[in-house]
Amino acid sequence: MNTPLDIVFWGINQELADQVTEKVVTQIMELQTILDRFNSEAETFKVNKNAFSKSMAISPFLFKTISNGMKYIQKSEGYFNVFAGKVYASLKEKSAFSESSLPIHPPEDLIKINTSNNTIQFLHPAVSLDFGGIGKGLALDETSKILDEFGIKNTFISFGGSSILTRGHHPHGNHWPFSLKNQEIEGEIWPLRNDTVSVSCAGHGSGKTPHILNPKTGDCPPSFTAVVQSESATEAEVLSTALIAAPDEKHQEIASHFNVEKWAVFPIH
Amino acid sequence: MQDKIQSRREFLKKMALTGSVATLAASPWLSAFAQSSAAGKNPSDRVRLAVIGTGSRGKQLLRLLFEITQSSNLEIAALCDVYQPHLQETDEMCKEQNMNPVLYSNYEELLNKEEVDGVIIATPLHQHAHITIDAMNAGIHVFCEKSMARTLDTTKAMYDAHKATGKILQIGHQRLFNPVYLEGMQRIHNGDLGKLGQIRAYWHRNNDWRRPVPNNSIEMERFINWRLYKEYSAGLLTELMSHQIQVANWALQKTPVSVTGTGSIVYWKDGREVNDNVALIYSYDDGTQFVYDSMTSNKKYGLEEQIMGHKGTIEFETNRYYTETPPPAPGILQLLNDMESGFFGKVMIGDASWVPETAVKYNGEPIIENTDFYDTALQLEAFAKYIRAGKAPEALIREGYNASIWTMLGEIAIETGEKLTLADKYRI
Repeated sequence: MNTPLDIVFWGINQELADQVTEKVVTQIMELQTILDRFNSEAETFKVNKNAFSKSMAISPFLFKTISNGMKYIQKSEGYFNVFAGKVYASLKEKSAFSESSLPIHPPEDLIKINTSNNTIQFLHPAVSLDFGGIGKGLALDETSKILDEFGIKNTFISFGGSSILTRGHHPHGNHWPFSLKNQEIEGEIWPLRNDTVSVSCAGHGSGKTPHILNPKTGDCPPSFTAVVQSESATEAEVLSTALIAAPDEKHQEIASHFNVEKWAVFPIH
Repeated sequence: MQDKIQSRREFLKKMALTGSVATLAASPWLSAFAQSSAAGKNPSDRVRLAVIGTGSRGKQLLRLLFEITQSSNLEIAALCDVYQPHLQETDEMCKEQNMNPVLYSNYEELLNKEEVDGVIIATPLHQHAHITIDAMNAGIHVFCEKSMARTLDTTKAMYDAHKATGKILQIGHQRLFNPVYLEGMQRIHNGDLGKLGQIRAYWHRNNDWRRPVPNNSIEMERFINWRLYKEYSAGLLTELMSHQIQVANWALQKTPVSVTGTGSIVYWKDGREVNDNVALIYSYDDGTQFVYDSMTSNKKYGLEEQIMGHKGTIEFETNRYYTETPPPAPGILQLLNDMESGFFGKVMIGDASWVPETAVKYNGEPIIENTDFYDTALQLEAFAKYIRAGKAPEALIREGYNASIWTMLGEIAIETGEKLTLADKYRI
């Protein structure tokens, strides 16, 4: 995922910290071999290459992630779409966006899944898996399981600053006082305990390449930052991305479909 | 330049400040340099030196000698060059310093007539060996610029003469006296970089390496531009790479087991004989490699030696150390500081990450903070000190010898296109 991972522990010895860290990093590397759409050895790459022409049996993890991806299309009212890889690719490659490449159909029309044998098949030629907006969330939710396994009570984990996972509290307070690096969240500090936070940003302007767009129209949204606090890192990632892609008037309604603690959207200063 | 010249005392103070007492112990030439016997101020304690070869490098060394003449109690007793314009120029330089060296156009005459303690040889490469050997046979200590000699045999002959006469033979590898390298080498040898896998080095310039030739005669062309002709020089290899393979050997604390290479004249097709473009790979017995290239028609990448281990990288020329585990984000660092100091401050870490995500911008850190020194002056100061002691650590000549001998073998590897190993007779 080519992103710095910072893990802060307290109250445990170095040996345990090293053990947990090693397991977390290994887990993330394994996820990468499933979710990477650019690495020809990765499962997602292979699925993208072959799943339109034939039904494919896939790993339980990828199957679950795809199944959840279908639910997220509905929960986000189409503003978060893991099947819109070709739309996002058009951004990265700076190629013209084509209406015909836009999978605006209901998820059941995009992909067929068979829960009895973990097989999938793409139903539309424009379907392409892209877990870029959800990968760090998935990684942190897996990390959360590792923390449970080792009985870790207090930790602050930052995945590139945009995905945060916390357990317990700061050694000198009763929570982890989270804030944004460059701007206040409407003047607030968010107290985190056993929480996750996702930060998303439209990211255009100031020479930055946009990386979130409205998958329903192909439009680049205005420059906003969305912050979501949730128990689930994946849910937080999905909602923060959808809030950026969706117009203002949709925010409240979309957020109501998610089980989150808190969310905020504000312009980038 | 004046304020960049540091005395031995200041140099040693700097090394102590950087916590490098161990460095002194690990570098025998420094331990000897560090011994506290001060240069006596009496004329009888004075070290008398001659400079043979007064071209551009000779002049540079002379300027540095001027700076340490008093502190090291030196006398520039004689100058020698077959090229009168250079000799006259350096004589004038000395007179400006109120020095009156005797001038010679024949080095043998100088060796016969002058009672000097040491000679500094800065002639073209092909003249190093016989002048050095004659000087040591005359009982005179020698500081000779790198590379040692033009051939494997003459390089070995210089070393043998040093062993036979017991006279000091110091080769001008100034990086051995450079605090950046000394500190970096200590970290490397302590294992801070982990297992070294590869050393890469390069020296890129974009110029024709030519000097103006008086009268434009063919004879003077070869005399002035000796670096461009194989009879006198191996070009980029002896003039540039010899410095950098010395660094590689020093870092790995061993010498290569084989070398392969290629070279060509791709840009400066002006009658020169030496390659303007070379690439070599030296292999060591543990599988590590020294990968080298040099060219003279592009200067974008300049000059560097990159020492790469599984835990970190050192880039000596730019004084940078990079860990393979970059430091935490600033917000995390602040959190760690807060935790340690008992402060419950907000964690300002949240930020959008961008796609495509690129490698973390990490600019490393300096190996040492202050680099206000002239390593070439330090090595001359060391030479004077060694002369006073009557000996120099053997490790010093071994560094010079191994760099030179493997440079020569690299040239042969390029010419033959073969992967070469060093014959036993050249091993020391």
